[in-house]
Amino acid sequence: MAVDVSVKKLRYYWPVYLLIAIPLVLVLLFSYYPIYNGFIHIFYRWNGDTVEEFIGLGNIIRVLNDTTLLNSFGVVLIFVIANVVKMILPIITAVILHHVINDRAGYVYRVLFVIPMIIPAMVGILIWKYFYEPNNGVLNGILRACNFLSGTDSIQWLSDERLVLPALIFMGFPWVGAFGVLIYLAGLQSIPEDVYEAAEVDGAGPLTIFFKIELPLIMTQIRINLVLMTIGTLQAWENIYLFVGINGGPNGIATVPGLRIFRDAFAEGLFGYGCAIGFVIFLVTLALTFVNNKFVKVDK
Amino acid sequence: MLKQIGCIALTASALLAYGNDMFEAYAINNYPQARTLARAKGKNDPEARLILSLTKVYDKSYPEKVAIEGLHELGDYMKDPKNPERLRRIAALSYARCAQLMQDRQDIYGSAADKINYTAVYEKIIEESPNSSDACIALFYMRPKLEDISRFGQKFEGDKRDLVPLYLYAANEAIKNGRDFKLAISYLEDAYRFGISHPSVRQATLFRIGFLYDKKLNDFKSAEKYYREFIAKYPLARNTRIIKRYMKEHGVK
Amino acid sequence: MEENRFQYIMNRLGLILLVLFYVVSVIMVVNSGAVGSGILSREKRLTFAHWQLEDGFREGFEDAIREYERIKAEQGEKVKVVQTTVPVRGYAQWFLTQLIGGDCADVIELSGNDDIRNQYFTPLSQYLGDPNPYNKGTPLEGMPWRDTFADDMITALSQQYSEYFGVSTFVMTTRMYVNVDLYEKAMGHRRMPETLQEWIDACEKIQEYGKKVDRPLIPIGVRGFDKGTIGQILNHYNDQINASYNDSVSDYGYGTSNYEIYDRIANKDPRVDLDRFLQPVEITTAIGRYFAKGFSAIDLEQTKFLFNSGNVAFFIDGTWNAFSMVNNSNFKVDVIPIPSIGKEPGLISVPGVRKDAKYNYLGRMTEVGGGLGGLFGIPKSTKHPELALDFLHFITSYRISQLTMIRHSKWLSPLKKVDYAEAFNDEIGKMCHCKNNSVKKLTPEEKREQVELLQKCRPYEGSGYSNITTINSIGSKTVKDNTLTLETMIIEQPDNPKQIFWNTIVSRTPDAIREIEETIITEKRTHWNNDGIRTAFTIGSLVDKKTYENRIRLTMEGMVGRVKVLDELLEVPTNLRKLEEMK
Repeated sequence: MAVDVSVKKLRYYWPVYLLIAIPLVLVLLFSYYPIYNGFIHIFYRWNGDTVEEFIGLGNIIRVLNDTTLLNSFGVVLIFVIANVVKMILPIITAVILHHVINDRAGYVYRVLFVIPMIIPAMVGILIWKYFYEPNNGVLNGILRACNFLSGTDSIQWLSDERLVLPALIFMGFPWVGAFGVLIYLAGLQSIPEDVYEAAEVDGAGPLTIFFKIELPLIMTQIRINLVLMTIGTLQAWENIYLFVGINGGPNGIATVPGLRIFRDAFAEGLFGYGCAIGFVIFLVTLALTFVNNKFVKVDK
Repeated sequence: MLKQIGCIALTASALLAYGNDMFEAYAINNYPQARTLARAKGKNDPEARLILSLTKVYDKSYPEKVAIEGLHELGDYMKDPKNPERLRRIAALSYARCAQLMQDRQDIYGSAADKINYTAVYEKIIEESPNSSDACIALFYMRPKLEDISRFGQKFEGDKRDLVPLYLYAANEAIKNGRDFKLAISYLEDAYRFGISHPSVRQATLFRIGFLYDKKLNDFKSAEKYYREFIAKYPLARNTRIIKRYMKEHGVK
Repeated sequence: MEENRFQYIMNRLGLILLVLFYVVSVIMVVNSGAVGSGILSREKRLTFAHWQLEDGFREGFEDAIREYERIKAEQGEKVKVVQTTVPVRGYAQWFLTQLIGGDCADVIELSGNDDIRNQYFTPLSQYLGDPNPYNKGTPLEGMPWRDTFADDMITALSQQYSEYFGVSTFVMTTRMYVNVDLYEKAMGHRRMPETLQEWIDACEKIQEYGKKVDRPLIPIGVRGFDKGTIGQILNHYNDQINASYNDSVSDYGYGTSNYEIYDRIANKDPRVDLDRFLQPVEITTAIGRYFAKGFSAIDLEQTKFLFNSGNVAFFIDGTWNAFSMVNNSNFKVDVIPIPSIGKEPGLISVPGVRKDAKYNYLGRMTEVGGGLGGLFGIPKSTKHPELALDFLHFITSYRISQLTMIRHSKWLSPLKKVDYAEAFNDEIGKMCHCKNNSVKKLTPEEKREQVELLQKCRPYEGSGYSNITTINSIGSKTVKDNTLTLETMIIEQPDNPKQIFWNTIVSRTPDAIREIEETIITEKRTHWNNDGIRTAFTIGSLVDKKTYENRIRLTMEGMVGRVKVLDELLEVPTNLRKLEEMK
């Protein structure tokens, strides 16, 4: 709890404030200053180095007239909804793990679910890319082995307009080898045993226990994950870049705002315009976080 | 206090690096060093004042309002008779050119330079030093008519190599304004004869003269002389293969 | 409770390790000369940086560095050259960071645009007129340094600033690698396709063979991810059909800009036939039938993997990979030129593209004088400018180019008159200190094979035509968008690709105009920068009249071209608006 400190007492507490000041300066310098700098450059024609010309609202007007950018927000919204749905399996997994009777078995399962987390994300992406490779990839190979495809046919998972988004959403299936399972499990383990006993006494079945007890009591964790997932999805672009390239796949179908920033700034040299897009993403993220806070309530 | 220590340190390092010559620093576009040395010399020194104003105008790390400030300083500098004549002419040429370019970039400079009659400044440079390279550059920047270029060239008594950009420009204009290839060739021949300094431009011009004779005036006989000179001077160049094709098409070895 | 000795040590283990690692780091840094040179020792230290991680390049330059240090030692100068390599994916960012930080390598491979080079790099014009001292006793002795390069340094010229900021160290051409074993199985013979029709027929046979053996064989492996192969094929056939426009379209001289072509098309000038300019689009779309399925999402590494696994018949790529492709595959690989439209110039029928398709084939393009790359320059911030220049002379000298490029890297030299067979003789061999026997000790048979391979990669003399711009080259972003359209057409294989492509270009006119408007601003900025350079040289002439007056002339002669470019650009938006009526 914060305590009022008089100026006189600073003589004694100054080492503490000095120690806090150092990381604070670093945060201001490396976190807040770049944000401020990026905001200022919204009003500039800026190539990142030698060109920096003040153009007022030119970039903002361009953003508002950019229909492809608007479409990219539509794409990212699809990813957000898909990621919300993808949150269900980790919750179910955590509940199942929580109810494993044998402690040793439970420990083994927990370790098995944690191991995928230590594999670098890049490796995972490259593996999935090979998975989707149309000529010699694993997925088409399985389909050929099951006679769904002939030996020379193939499905273009990443170059068919109709399949790119589903392929990107499906990547990482079953989506349980990550942080979420552990977070929910920690939440479930903090539920007191007597709550379960009381429920059993009242004749509650497993589904009732899940919906009436477990789910409400881990709603804090779900909400945190939802906020982090929304922010992460709105900003993410690296997966798409690695899978389908800087143009966002066939006809740019998988272009998201983050990829637009990367392309416009680093490929086209329009850093000022990239800052403007970044600002729009910031506003959208803020709006969605507000919505999340307002409507996803934790019943205390 | 810290700022003063910083300035002293910068000045000392600049002096160590360049001795006392801010002109040398400016000549290699090292604006920060040039500025530091100019400030060390003081604002009463006319050379230092010129350098400071030039860096304001040409150093792109400065915002636009500083460039506008520098422009006006150059204007005052060129009008001040106490400044050395040569430096006043340098200031005048930069003043006129920057005003001209600022009027072309109203998106960032607004109407800051609209009232400046840069043409009059160019004309004054030409009038006061008609045989200098500055006069040639001033005329070039004026985007003159062909007859003005010819008249200027005939009267010019300075180093003829300074006329080359004007004549190359005139050749382009002769083609653009009336497809007068003969006139264009005459300008190119003059430029080549005066001596083109840029090796790539020299090579390209030699080929171009032959090409225009051959393809635009259908005068292969006149072209052949230039083609052979090109092959002799640049036997391994890509354009040599092209010339050999042309000569083959004309049945010549 | 008092600590015993063991506990005492364990409790302070972290601190001990910290001190120990710090001391080791300091020793290593001093040893490597980062701190030592210039202060503790009399040795001059030069850093040489690039992004070429291909086989042989670094080893070749290690031998060259060793030779350089030996020569300098004989001259009484203690020099140490340190080679640094950075992977290409991060190179551009690393390069810029180093320049901005002022602590760049002394000789570094150029990246970035002309503005960055102009700001940070030493202009080399003043040195190019003098002979390269390291060419004594070679066929290039006495030649001005500039003239020793195959293209007279035209590739290295910054058009924006009429200045040279780097010199080339290698030449690259584009060739097609063929899986000869697979080809033979499908075709029944080893005679390689020379013409477009033969190539299409071969691709059909390979597809049929794939169906017969129930394997997903790929006739043509492509770099789909970065659209590289589509661009290579489009440019290749565009040159063979349209290069003659270089003789006639421009009023100003040989060659033409894309702005002039659009001007002619927009004003319905009979000198330019739009249909002819669209024929390469039709050809590329037709060839695209034989690309790998899903090629647009396949990157270079995947394609190479597919080729090396024996599933791809033809793979188009640069000759930087030629040696490893030929020698590291489990099957025989041949290197051939991308097939031409015909064998001899003339009107050629190609029913494989379209039943009644006929193209006016001009002949194989002249590659000589092109393909130079690997520009190395000297940053202004270098502490040893004269030594850096000397080293640059050294690595672009005749014998060292033979050592590094031909002997080690199996690449092509950027210099004139280079004898490839001579690169494998004992004189060059004496400079090889590496353990690689494919470089150091070669049998006569191996030497012959390597020289033969290099001859296949060498630039062609050609029929006397040079490259011409493609129809979609208007604004860099618009080019990329148009290439994506071509990619979509390859996937969908419409009946009328020329019409669709042209309509797409025309529908993108507003984007192109916006891009041209930005280009106009960039060009105006260049004029300003050039005037800044002119003024700098004028000030310099107050100190050194002769040197700087010449440089003023160089700048102003280059300005003539910039003025012409700006005038052309200002007319482009009007012409593009006229195109909208031509859909």
